[in-house]
Amino acid sequence: MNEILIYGAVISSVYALLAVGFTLVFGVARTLNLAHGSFYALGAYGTFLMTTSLRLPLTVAATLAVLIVAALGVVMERVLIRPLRGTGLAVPMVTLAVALVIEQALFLGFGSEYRNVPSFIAASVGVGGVDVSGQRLFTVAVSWSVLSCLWVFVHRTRQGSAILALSQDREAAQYVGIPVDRVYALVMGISAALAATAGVLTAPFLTVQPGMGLMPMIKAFSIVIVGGLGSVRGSIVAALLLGYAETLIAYKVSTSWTELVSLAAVFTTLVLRPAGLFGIRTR
Amino acid sequence: MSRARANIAGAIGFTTVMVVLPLIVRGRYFIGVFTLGLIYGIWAASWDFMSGLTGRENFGHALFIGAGAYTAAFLNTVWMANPWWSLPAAACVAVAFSLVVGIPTLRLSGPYFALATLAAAAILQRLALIFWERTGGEDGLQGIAPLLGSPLGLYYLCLFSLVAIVAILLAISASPWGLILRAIGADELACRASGHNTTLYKVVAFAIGAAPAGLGGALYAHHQLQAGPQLLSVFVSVSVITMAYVGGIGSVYGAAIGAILLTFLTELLRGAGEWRLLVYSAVLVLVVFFRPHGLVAPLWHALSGVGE
Amino acid sequence: MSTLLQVTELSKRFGGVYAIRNISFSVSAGKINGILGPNGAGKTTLFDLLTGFLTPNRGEVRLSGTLLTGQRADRIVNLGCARTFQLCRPFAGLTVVQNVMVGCLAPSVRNFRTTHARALQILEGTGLGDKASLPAHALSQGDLRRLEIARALGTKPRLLLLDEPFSGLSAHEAEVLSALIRQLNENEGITVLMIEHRLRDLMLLAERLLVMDSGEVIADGEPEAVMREPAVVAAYIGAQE
Repeated sequence: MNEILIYGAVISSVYALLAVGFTLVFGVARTLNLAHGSFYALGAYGTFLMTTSLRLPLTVAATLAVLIVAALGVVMERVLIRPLRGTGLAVPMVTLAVALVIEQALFLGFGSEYRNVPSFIAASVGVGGVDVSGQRLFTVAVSWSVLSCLWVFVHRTRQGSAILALSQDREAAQYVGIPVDRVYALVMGISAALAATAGVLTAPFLTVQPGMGLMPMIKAFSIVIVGGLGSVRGSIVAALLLGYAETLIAYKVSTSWTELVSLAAVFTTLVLRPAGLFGIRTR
Repeated sequence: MSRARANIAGAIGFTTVMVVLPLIVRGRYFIGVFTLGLIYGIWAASWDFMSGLTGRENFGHALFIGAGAYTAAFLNTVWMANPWWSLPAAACVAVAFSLVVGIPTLRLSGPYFALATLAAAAILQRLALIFWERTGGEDGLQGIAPLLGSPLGLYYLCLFSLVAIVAILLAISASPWGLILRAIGADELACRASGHNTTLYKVVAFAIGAAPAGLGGALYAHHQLQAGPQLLSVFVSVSVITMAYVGGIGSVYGAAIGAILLTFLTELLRGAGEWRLLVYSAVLVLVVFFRPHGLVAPLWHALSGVGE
Repeated sequence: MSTLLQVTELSKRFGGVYAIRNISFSVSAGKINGILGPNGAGKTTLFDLLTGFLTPNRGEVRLSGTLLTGQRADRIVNLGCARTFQLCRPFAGLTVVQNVMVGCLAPSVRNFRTTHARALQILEGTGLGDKASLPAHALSQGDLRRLEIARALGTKPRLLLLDEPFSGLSAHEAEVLSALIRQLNENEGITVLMIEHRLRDLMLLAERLLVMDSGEVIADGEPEAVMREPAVVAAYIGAQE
């Protein structure tokens, strides 16, 4: 029972990071960023690269990796997405192409074998009678800290208010003089940073291989749909729900069936209540 | 000559070239490449029919391709059925998948359809790996029996299939049904306000696009004599989309020709090996940015209008 | 005079705000009816409710007795109620005649053999006959308005809902449109319900005027009389032309 509580918390926190980033970009910039999983992968590989080749200490490597990926997100937004905005059709396509390019670049650069990234906390810790790796607990702590910081940022700073305003009414926000393009870039940077953070945290205990970004991104979709597209609150709640549901199934039935949990959840949501838990009901 | 005559002449010309091609450029290797080009043509044209006309992007065409291939593989290696059953069976399975994915999502506005198609292919790929005892895992199912004795025979079967499929899809596209699909692509709300049940049209178009994709998957399985999870990959989906873009979105025939051209071109890049995938993605980005109307269809449109 | 459209106690809420509050009115067959009201009065929302693009929280709409509320938008069109939009929505990429053909292909009225011919006929009737082969996006604003109406006419409506058809038109274009609307009403017996800001154009056409404000109907009757009512004057200080 305790195992489920703890491991469920770990997986939920990672899902929350991924889902919130994805829903933020969609809710604010109306952009479907299909390269979201790539940011996750780049966070992990960036850390790997900097600890092995550059021999940087882990904390430095990790922080740098997240910042670089965030910058990459901003660049992608500026160079590839902004020019296509308004034509409607092609943006998701282009981000998907970027995702493929990144996956292939990782494959060519690092090969297809699984890579090892060192843990922040190597030791195991006893929690509630369960032996948990320190890294996993660290993941939970950092994830929720990061999300809390994000909440503070959005609700207490000027840039954060700009983000909120844009997500509610783009035209009104423009009239008030909010620099729309810059806010979009900021949101993409934040989203990429969240995904990269997830990658950095989980790299030590999940597999690091070039295609590692796809399934987490699909999970993020599922969570965002269940929680309600554009709703950060919804993403967090759905991340907890799905994370725990998966852990439960993994323990009680088998790990093979965990994929079907999110599949079932999405299907049910789309059929019964497409807007999701906290989404806005249209028509 | 009039545009209609030019189109017929073009079709005949294309078919003639493709019929004669393997007789001029001989060799098992080349026939294999040509056949692959034709199969990709089927996949790209079938993608373009739905996504090109209605504008609803399907990011997981690989779902139908892989489902078709695996259906052929199961029928042939596990149930020992005659290989010819693969073709209709694969088409039916693909259509079934299209209904499962399409019906809940196409009635919604928003990115649900796009996300669902991407997710469906990825999840099926994952399931193929998880249940490796049944599906052969990474390596897939091997030992599929060929459909016809000779590779040349299979080539002509694929050519016939491509021409027939493109002809049917073009006929639908040029019909009143195609007009409504294009109206949906232009402005779905206005199309509903003109009295059409746009969800039904989209679902049916999606299913119509799925069937050839599944059939192509079965042809592929009987060509390569194996079916693996790579057929469900995002790369396959993006390749198909790239081919349609190069060919000219919404033209259907453009996608087929774009597919053949790109397949041939990338075979020339064989030496570059793993760089092929990078190249495809880069091509897509370039086409989307600089030639969103594609290359093949606009070119043909210009050429065939010369005599008017 | 038979009742074509019957609206009973229609209400629509968005969150806590009532966009439409308990509206009831009826439209007799064969007349041109106008809807007037300041911005935000809920006029377009009313149209969305009547045509099935929005579902009301309360109330019902009936067309010749048939219940419209709760039906899909395309079903309502096939029952005989068509609309145009405030901002024109042509099918870009299709030609003018193809635009109208889409309307002609509505399930309740289509005839595959005569689709093209009927579309051309409608275009002639709306004065766009010589522009049939042009791409729709090449038309002027005035022509686009008429194209929207032509497309709606393809569905053989008994009731035609026009949302600010005169907005953005020059004096000449307005005259042409006015003549068209009158002709559709008198010669083809189409009942018209028209939202309009431009008072002059509205007063010249409408035989009956509904005035809305803040989601409610505040006046309903003969145009001259309605415009003199104190409630209307108050809501419309500085009525626009």
